[in-house]
Formats: sequence, structure tokens, C-alpha cells
Amino acid sequence: MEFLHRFFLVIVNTGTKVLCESKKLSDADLVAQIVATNNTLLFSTLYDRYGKKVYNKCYSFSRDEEEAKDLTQDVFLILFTKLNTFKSASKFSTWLYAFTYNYCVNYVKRDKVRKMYDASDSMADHDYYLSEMQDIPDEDLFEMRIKKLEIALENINPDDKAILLLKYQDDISVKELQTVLKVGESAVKMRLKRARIRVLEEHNKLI
Amino acid sequence: MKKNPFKEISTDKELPSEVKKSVMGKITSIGLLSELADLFIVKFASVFKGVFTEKKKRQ
Repeated sequence: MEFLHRFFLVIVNTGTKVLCESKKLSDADLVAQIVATNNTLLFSTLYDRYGKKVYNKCYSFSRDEEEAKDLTQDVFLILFTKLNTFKSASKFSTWLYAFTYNYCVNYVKRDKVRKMYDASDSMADHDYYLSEMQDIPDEDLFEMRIKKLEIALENINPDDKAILLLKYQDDISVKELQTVLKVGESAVKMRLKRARIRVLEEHNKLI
Repeated sequence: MKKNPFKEISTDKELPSEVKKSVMGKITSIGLLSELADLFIVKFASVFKGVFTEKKKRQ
């Protein structure tokens, strides 16, 4: 009995020590240790650091607390199995936010009504018309009203919404976007331009 | 410079604690399953391989 009691104490103390030490680690080091050891205690530290952020990002897409909880849970479960694909080319937070938005965009696209909308083809879906249009400076973009912006973001393509949030809410640079989206600089700039034009168009449609 | 409205629309909701319980429970199960798979598929296989090659060498 005494032996079992001591054994239990050793296990508890080891766990607490691992948790305390993991809190001092940088994100990249913490991820490297989780990948190397598969230690779930270390993963709980990562969850504590980013759980709330991920939850709020999921909420910005679903606008429903229950759905946001499910999305957060799914994001962290997939994250655990995909952590080994993080290569430190960008900050871990940037990679995680892009990963979260990507999951949320796919979730929104699965929605049947949106699927029908996406299947329809319009001139606005083709990029060639963008070359005729002037890009929108950030000053003009920042003149949008908050309530109207929320509605406009709901109405545009979820991919456009995701890239706008990454750029203007999370302050991720074009260079970092190139890395996490795995596309070239001109593609990132084109996607941003398209998203800016569309969100401003939607915003101006609202009375 | 004008205030960035994208920052204003970000929410600051608290994450319910039950989500952590559920996530960590499922991750523990995933970890256990991968350990078991590793034990039976990789480690046991190499032990058997070792045993049979030893036997062959002796014969």
C-alpha cells in the first residue's frame, strides 16, 4: 500500500514538473517536444495558450456558441495529429490561425445553402474584372462601419473573409501569408485586393 | 490613421472549460491508440523478425 502511495505521488509530481517546465517554453520548442514525445500534458499547455483565441476565431465564422465549441474541439484534435507538419517557417500563432480559418472556411462551405450559392457563376467570381478596378487603400477600408462590416463579412466568400481577418485582425504580413498559404507574393496581393473590393462592395450595398 | 474596424469586430468570449476536458480526453485516447499501434505493428514485428532471423542463423 505504501509503495502504491509513493508510486502515485511520483507520477503526480512528474506531471506537475512537466507542466511547470512546459509553461516556460517558446511555442516552437513546445511544439517540437510534443511531436517528439506525444506528451498530452504538453499539449494541454498549448491548448491553454491558444484555446480562447481559436474559440473566438471559430465563433467569428459560425456565430453560434455551440458550433464554435465543436469547431474548436475539432481544430485541436486535428492539430494534435498534424503538429508534425509545422516547420517553423512562420510563427506558430500565424500557422495556427491560418489552420483554424482553413478549417472554418471548409466548414462554412459544407453548408448546403452556401454550396448552391457557390455553384452559381457570376462575372464577379472571375478575377479578370479586377485588373480594371483600382485597389482600395487601407484608409478607405478602415472607414467602414463596424456593424455593416460584420454583415458584409458574412456575405462575402469565406476565403475572402479569412484572408481579410488574417491581414487586418491578426496583423499577418504579406510575406507570412505567402508562407502559410503556400502561394506567391502576387497571388497573396491579388487575393487581398479581391477581398478588399468585395467587402467594400458588400458594405456599400447595405443601407 | 483611422481606427481599424477589423480589430473592433473581434470577440472576446470565454472558452467553456468542458471543451478542454473533452479535447484532452480524446487526445489521450488518440495517444494511447497510437502507442498500442506502435507496440503491436512496429515493435512486436521487429521482435518477431529478430527471433526468426536468429533461428535461421542457428540452423
